[in-house]
Amino acid sequence: MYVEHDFLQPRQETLKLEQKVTDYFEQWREPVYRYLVAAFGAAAQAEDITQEAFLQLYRYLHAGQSIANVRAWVFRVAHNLAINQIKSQQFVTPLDDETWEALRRSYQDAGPSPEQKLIQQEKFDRLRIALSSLTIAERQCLHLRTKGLRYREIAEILDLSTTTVAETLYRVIEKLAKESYG
Amino acid sequence: MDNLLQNGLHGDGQHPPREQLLLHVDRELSPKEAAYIETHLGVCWSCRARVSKIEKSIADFIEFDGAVLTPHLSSPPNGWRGFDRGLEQVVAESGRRSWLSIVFGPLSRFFSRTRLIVMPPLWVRVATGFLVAIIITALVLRSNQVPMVSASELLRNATAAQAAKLHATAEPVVHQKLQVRRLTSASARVETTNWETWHDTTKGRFRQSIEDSSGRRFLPPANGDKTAKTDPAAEPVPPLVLVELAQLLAANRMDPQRPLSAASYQSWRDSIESKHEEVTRAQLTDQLDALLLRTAPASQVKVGQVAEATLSVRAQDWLPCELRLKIRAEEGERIYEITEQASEVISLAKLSPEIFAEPPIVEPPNPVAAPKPSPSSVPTPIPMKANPAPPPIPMATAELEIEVLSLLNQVGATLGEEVSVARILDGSLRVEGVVETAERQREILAALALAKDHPAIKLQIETPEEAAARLQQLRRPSDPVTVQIQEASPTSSAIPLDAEVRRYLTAQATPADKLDEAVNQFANRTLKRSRQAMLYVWSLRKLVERFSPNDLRTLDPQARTKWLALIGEHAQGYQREIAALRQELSPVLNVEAAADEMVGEIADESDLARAVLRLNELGAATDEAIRAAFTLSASGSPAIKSPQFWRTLSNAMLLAQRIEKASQQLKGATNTERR
Repeated sequence: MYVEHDFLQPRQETLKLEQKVTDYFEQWREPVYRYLVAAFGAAAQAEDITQEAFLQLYRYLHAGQSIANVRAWVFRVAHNLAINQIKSQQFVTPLDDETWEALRRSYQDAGPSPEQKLIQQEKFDRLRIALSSLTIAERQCLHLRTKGLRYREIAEILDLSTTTVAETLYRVIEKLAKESYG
Repeated sequence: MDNLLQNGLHGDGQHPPREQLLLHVDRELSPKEAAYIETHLGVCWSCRARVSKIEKSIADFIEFDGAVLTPHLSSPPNGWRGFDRGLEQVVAESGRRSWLSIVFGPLSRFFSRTRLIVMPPLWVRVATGFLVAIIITALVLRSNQVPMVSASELLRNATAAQAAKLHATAEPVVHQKLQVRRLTSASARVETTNWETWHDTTKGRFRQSIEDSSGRRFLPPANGDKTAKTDPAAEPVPPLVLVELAQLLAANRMDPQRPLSAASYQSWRDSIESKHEEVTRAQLTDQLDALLLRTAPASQVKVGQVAEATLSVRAQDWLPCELRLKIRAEEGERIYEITEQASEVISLAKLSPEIFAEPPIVEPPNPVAAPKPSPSSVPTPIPMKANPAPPPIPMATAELEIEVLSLLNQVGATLGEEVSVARILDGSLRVEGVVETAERQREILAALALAKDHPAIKLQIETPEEAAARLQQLRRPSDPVTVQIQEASPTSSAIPLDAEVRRYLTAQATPADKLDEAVNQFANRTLKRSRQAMLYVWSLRKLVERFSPNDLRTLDPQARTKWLALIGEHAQGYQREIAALRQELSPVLNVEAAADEMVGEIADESDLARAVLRLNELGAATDEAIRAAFTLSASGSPAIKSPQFWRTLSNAMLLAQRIEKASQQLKGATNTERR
């Protein structure tokens, strides 16, 4: 009456892989999505691209390929998809004046005392200026680093050398520091 | 990071480079390097201060990210709703699951769970046995009727079936009777056309006809066939629906001559990066079973692109029988349905010879003298092309485009409108232009000698006489050509800057009787320079706009270097013209102003593109001011006298310098960085 184990293998494997990809998706979809929005400024497409990156992950693993660093792989695929699909948004800054004003109003409630609020607001205004002065490559490096990726992972995702990533990140820090301290 | 260590860490008393401090903070250094920095930080207050500044900047950004960016960005618009369905589709598509696994998969879970607790009672086992038997029988019956397959498998089978049908016949000619229906969201009317096609697969010939109330009529080739000149007046005009359809098919990488083929569908499907697909079962109107493959691009498509396509194949022989295309249009959407009414593969020997008969040649000088064939009785067979290469069409790459641009640049043919180079929708690279003399034509063709035989290149460099002759042939004799020339009447007889130029030239000891002529010359020279400068800017803009960021990213290093070299050269050309302009204009107007615009860092191609677009704006503004100042018009005080103009000129100059420099730096980086 019991079924031969061999028959069950493909179905179980598929289910296992499906579950694995779903787990990865739940774990990393937010960072990937946020990276895409921050670096490319296209919220409408970022969700689709993120999902597509994980679907590609399934196809890739299903084809029997192995991936040493799944997180970097997904970021890289999402990044490349975004480059192909969000051509027109290449030069868009993620925070335009209108959005910024709306955000400013929303975080005004934060902060314990009026004086501290003011200081924080000024700091944020300066940071926003610094961020808008970043080049696309700088923005991408910064947001990938913020998502916890190592330099060599960032290099792999953006197809740069590790040295370039290090130099770019240093420029970013300099720009941020310059705005904060003059 | 060893290279930084080598380059940066020095002996006692010297500070490590600042970049290294960030690497240290980020724990990116080797233990040896980290130990060195740690020791140094122990003794050096200023480096410690720098480290804390770096840490503070990071902390500030993280605070900003947490308080502003993340809350703003955290919710995707659709709440990840599409993923589960997408994954299910991909799973179904990625591999055909055997029916055994479909049946036993869920059962195995049931058994493995129950086995651990207690052996199920006998009736459960018997009932399960029956259930399994019923399901297996149902599935076997079902799979005998119409097997379910993945999208790729369906297309593979359909391609194989079409090929097998061809192989069975000697010198096969595919003859199809099709019905084309067009529905638009703008009108309720359905346009229907009966379309008949013949493909001689051995000789690559194509014929088509349409049938309506006035009978069957053969259609002329879609594009001018230079070898066979037929009397255009006698040719029936193809119905608009077919013309439109052919354009749409070509633009979407489908085969305009054989849209109802698996290969054509596959070609379009391959051109879409991400898509949703499903295979369903349906019954055709003649009670035959069919499989329907529906493909829709995952992202939104542009006007003129396929938003959804459905290919129906007959379940019994896998042959495609209907194609339905939903096209995005300005007014909403248009639907085209191509349905097969009848189809056969016949041997060329058995085909009526009139189908592919040579067309009557009509002498162009006296078209009236040639006997006009009667379109309704005897069809006028016109081959589509002398020897058309059916798809796959060779695709022009970005590398090829850069190669051609680079070759043209060697003979100075990339500036202005002399020769245009464009990758067109059918995948080929069109290089065309009308040049002034036969000598120039030879020069350009010689420069392109290396590339001109490439199958993806469509080359047409003509002299004005050749172009005129070609246009004459295309024009119907009945079309009278009238050219109206309107005399331009200037509102003023002097250029706005007349007084200033006159004063300057007088001071330069120009004799009074030659003054008018000298003013004219000065104005012409300035206008010419300004135009030349603009040609450089326009070319620069075309260079950055014609390649997508992805094109540039994936370009081979050699082509990339060439592209950057072209950018550098054009930026230099612009500077040269602007410097000369400035030298001439500055003493006339006695105004100068330094640049006041901050030029952002140009670290990559995207920055470069942005800088070029800005240069385009600045260049256009200065060119406009110059033209306003030196052409006859009624405008008031010319903008050229204002400091703003001079600031803009300086800004443009500075930006062009930066572009040139950046192109060199990126070129260097390409050579060293690409691994």
